[in-house]
Amino acid sequence: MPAAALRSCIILLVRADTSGGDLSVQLRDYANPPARGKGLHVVEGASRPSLLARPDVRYAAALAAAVALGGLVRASFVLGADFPLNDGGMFFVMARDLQANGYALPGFTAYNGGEIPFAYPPLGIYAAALFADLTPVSMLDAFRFLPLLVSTFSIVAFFLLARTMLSTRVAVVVAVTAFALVPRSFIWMIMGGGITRSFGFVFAILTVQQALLLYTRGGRRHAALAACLGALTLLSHVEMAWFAAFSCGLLFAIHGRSRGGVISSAAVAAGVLVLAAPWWANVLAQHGIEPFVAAADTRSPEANPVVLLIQFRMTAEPLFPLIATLAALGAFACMVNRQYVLPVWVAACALLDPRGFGTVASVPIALLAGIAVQDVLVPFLHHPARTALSAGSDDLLVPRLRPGAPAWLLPSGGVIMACYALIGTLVAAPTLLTGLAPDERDAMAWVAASTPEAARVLVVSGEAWDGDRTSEWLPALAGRRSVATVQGREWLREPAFDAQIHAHRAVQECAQADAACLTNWARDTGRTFDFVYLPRLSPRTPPSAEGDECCPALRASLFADTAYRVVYDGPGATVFAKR
Amino acid sequence: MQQPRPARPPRLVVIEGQRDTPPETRLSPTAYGVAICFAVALGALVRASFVLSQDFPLSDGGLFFVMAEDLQHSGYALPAFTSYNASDIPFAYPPLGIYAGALVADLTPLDMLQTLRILPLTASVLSILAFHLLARSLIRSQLAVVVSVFAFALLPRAFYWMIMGGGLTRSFGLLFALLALHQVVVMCRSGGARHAIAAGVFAGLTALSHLEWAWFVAFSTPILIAGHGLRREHLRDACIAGVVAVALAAPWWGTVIAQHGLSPFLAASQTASQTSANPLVSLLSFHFTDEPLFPLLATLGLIGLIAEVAGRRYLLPGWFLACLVLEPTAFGTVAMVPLALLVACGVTGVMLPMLEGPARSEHPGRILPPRWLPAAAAVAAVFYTLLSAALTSPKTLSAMTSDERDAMAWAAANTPSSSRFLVVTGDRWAIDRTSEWFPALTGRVSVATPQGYEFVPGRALEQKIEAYIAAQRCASSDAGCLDAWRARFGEAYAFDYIYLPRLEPRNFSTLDKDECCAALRAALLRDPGYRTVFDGPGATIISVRPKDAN
Repeated sequence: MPAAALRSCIILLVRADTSGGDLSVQLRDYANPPARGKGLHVVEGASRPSLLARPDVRYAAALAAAVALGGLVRASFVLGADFPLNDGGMFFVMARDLQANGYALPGFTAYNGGEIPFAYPPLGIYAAALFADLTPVSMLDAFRFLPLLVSTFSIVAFFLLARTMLSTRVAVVVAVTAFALVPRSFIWMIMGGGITRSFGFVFAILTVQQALLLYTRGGRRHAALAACLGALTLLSHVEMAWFAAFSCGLLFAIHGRSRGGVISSAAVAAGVLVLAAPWWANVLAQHGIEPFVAAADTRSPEANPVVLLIQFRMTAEPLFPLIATLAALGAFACMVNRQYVLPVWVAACALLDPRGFGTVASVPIALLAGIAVQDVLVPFLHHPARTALSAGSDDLLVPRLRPGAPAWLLPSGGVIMACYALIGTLVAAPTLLTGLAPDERDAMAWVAASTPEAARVLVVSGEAWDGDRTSEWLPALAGRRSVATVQGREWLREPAFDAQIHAHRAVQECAQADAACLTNWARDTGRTFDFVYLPRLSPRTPPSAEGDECCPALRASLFADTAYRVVYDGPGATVFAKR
Repeated sequence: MQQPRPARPPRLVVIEGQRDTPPETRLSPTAYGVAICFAVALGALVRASFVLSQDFPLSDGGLFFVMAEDLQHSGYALPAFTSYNASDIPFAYPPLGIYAGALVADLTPLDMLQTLRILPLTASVLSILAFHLLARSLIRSQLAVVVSVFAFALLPRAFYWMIMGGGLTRSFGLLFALLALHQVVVMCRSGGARHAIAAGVFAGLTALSHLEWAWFVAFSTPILIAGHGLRREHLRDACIAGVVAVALAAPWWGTVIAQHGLSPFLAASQTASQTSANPLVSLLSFHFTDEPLFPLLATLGLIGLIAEVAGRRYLLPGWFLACLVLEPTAFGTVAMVPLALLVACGVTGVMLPMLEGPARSEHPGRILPPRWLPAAAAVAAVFYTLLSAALTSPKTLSAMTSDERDAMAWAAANTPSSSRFLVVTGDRWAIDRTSEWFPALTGRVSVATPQGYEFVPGRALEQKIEAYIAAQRCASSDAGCLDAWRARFGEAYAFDYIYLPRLEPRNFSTLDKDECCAALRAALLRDPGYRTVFDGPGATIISVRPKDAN
């Protein structure tokens, strides 16, 4: 199946190349609309005369192959584990809270001590709870399969956007393939915590597509759809709603600067707020404005937008960043053609959403990759230019035997690029995309069964907070309070979210220190704990050494320290009780 | 409504319209000179910024430091063995750089350590000028020459291994290799025995400096000759160059053969197979430029490579692939030469035509690129590569701190001269400055240091590396790991002391702020079989108690 899919892509590219260039027409010029079109640049690809026999079939096959390939890659990670990948513990508890509360929004979640307001946008959590209630699938499996399904559907949503924004089928197919394979389009979506992110991402992409249609075509249908999809985005994930908002703002600045555009935009914004009111009004009624103020104040201290943009490593490709390279080439081609929408969109993602930059930027990045192939690579391979070495020196250096690129170059280049992106995707973040091992679940089950219900546990895993699956899942599986867990704290003003992150990081640094480090941490942060939980797993934060199990120095120190007593030492973790 | 289909469909991307226009851009002599000087100055600045920010040779060089002192002590006659690490390591290393280091230290106010900082830096900067000669002989477009010189000056891997202390030999190897290849190209174009002899002299100096660069010259020469068409006179000149090179290097290889036979060379020839990376993995990862940000130069090189293949010009792609296949160990370093030329092809063959666009007369409705874009793109590219070069591998391009040198001085002053140390750093052997400098600064044996063993027969290097890797794994373990290590490798690796630096490992596989070996240090401090004899800010030295003392 993947081979056939790749072949379809290559055939399409070759056809495009040999069809005399009709498929490689210009990127639609948003800034300078052509005289024949008024404002809107939506492609009516089906009627293009340049496609050869059965073009729609080839087009559909290539797109289906891209979606299937993306689904296959995503599934390979999810089905490779018997537990939700990485995070999701908090949403797991929240979904059970919903079930226990008869699907009415509770005031607080039972997660990690019961003091966190149930203020999270609830759509994905409702979906998981319903999925687990209405199907034979367990709640844990719902947290594996639902994000996978929705993330695969995001490729289809992206196709709708690409078809709207790009002018040729070559560009659309390449962009969809790039989106299907670029790691950051799915890494954070297929995890357990993707139960909310994946829904948010899909609805955000669809919202942007409808906004573009609204600004370029007009019509109430697009306004209504944009409002509905925007509300669903807001009900799924606040960060994705912000992505949709500033992306629509960008499109408004380019296409919607008219009286009609302003009215439409205001109507859509009002519609979004009204449709999402059952959630935010409920939260306001129960907790006031505080949770939203706290959430608005969250920021990732390590994400400097300028640095992110300069690094240009947002795709998380572990090998050579092929898709990022194509995107850079596409951005350059766009600027040459005075089409600034997509480059500005990438910059806006970095500046306005530095924490989610890699994820949300995967949308314009994939579109730019399509433009690079359409506007740079295919035309160039059709008519290669003379280069530095050949200029003026044909008499000396190996001359070209025949004009034009070798016939094998385009298809083989396409196959190599697709295979390379696929390999890069499969090895992307494999350590992050793992679930809790049975041994560690056993250790947490022991904590649940053998420690007092009021016990306070300090988890030291050596991980960064957003990849610390142990810290997130312990409160869910053990039912005990984890004193350094960050998840859920974004809705609390005290302690501040970045202070919580700082405290988590400080205690993880104790992994390479001794018992005194824990004592100092407790003194500095004013937190107390009864147990220390040290997983016996290799930390998955990138700089950790492969094969090293967590925290050997701290474990050795606690073993020797008379202030601590080993109460559990299994293959998954060691638990120390504080005397 | 469809537009009438033009004979050649208009494209906003300009390549098509430019395909018959040679991208050569001739610069005024002043502009050309200023641009080359600017490139060389930038390259020198980046290199110097690393070297001059430290008061000790960067990273490695301990072995050459001792060898240079050996030369001074023997009155500049080649000794049979080096005194490094009190082992029977033949003095078989190509000695030109080591002679240069010893002479500079003898004849100038610079001491030997300062020489190991300044000489590699100087040779590395001169290599940019040598590359300019090579690029100018291969490329007619002056703009392309300028681009390639900028690329070579700022490519991290073009200087990364050259400016370290161990660059004493590598940097001279690169310098002479570039000069030799320049003479090969001139020889092919102009003919004449003069250039053949010059090529032979530089090739001989390359062989006297560094074997890897000599091998690079050896396989690059036929490729460049083939690129100019295989003619009888080229083959004749190449033979002359080869004879001159072999004759020039004879005093070295003749001495080594007379003293040790062929075994050091046979051992060295096996080194690559023992240490090389998988060439396919190197090619697939395409990370060999070591650019810490977005790999802009690697990308432009890749675009240039595709442009050359698309234009059916296979010289540079072939040379690049030859580096991968024939020199997998040092692929990232030697491939910088063809890569910098490919960058020029990418810029002049793909990027510039995009900016210039097809003739406006041909496509009157065409949108012209913004006027500011070419200048902005050029400035941005230079600044980006400069930033990237300045950021490159700062952890590896660091020197031994004064604290660690103090710890080693303590070991030299307070331990018996026959004592044997196990140095555990958590590093990889090729960048483990502590393991390499320890024997040089303390005069004590470091039982797991692999440096120098490439010339020892009997697969000695392979065994050393195996022991080294196993020892470093104990960094996150306890005393039992050391016991197992000792049992596995036997009496030949017996040690009296363990040296644990208090530094961050530089192999990028541990958390940034962690100092080396916290777990092992904590375990040994509690273990009655060990006793801490020195614990300073640079290192902890722990002695092994005799078993009957327990």
